[in-house]
Amino acid sequence: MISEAQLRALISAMATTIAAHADELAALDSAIGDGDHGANMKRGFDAVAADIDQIAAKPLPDALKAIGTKLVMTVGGASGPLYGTLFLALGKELAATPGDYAGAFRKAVDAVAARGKSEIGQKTMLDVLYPVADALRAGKEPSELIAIANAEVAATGPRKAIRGRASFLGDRSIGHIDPGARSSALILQAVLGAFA
Amino acid sequence: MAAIDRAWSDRGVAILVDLGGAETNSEMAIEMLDGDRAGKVVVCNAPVVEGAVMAATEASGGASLAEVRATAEQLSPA
Repeated sequence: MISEAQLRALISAMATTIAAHADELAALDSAIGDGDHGANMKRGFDAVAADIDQIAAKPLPDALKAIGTKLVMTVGGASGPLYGTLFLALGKELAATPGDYAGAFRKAVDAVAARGKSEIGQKTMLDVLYPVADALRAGKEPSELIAIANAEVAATGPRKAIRGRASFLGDRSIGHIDPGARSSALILQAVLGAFA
Repeated sequence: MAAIDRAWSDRGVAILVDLGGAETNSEMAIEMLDGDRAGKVVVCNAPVVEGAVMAATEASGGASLAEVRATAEQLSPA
């Protein structure tokens, strides 16, 4: 069970991590997108952190849904609906199957894939989320999951973007790390780090 | 969703989008509408500026939602 204090720590960790890496995300997005990913994500997670008292007081599934709704309303771009869907679906699945974190996370990643009409291997956040979901189901430790996430971020570099803004660049997207993959790994790192 | 509300009539709403994010946001907003209304909102696969002009012209003449969408989507490359 996750306590209110743990939930507060997780929300703070996500907001702090995103804020600390906002410039890095902006730089990655400037290379193959429109450069707003850092500012957008920071605005969203700052808004979540501003509501920490109300959100952390809720049961976990409701708290996750509240985070998702806040992200949809504040992040903007394509990332808003995508990250919003991740948290909304995670909350919904955990309400249906309490305690099955691995199963719920995998279904939430499927929901993101459906929302973005994308799949693994297209140089998106899914390139990180799916391998981590599989490793979580296989019972890997938090520190191993973080290592997998970071390795998958690096692996997006040589890939050609098939979905998302970077896909407009075609072959020119090759050689750049995907900003959404990086922000996904940062959020996972913030959450998993609390359990490592 | 506020934009859909502003444009709302019982005959429906046609949405024109530019980039992927706008499409994703629109689809999410449509899913958040209640069932009856969701069926009356469409995202047109059309260029945003030309599509909006043609859709608005068609709609102002009293055309149905399907006709408005078809007119806008004629502008898309086959």
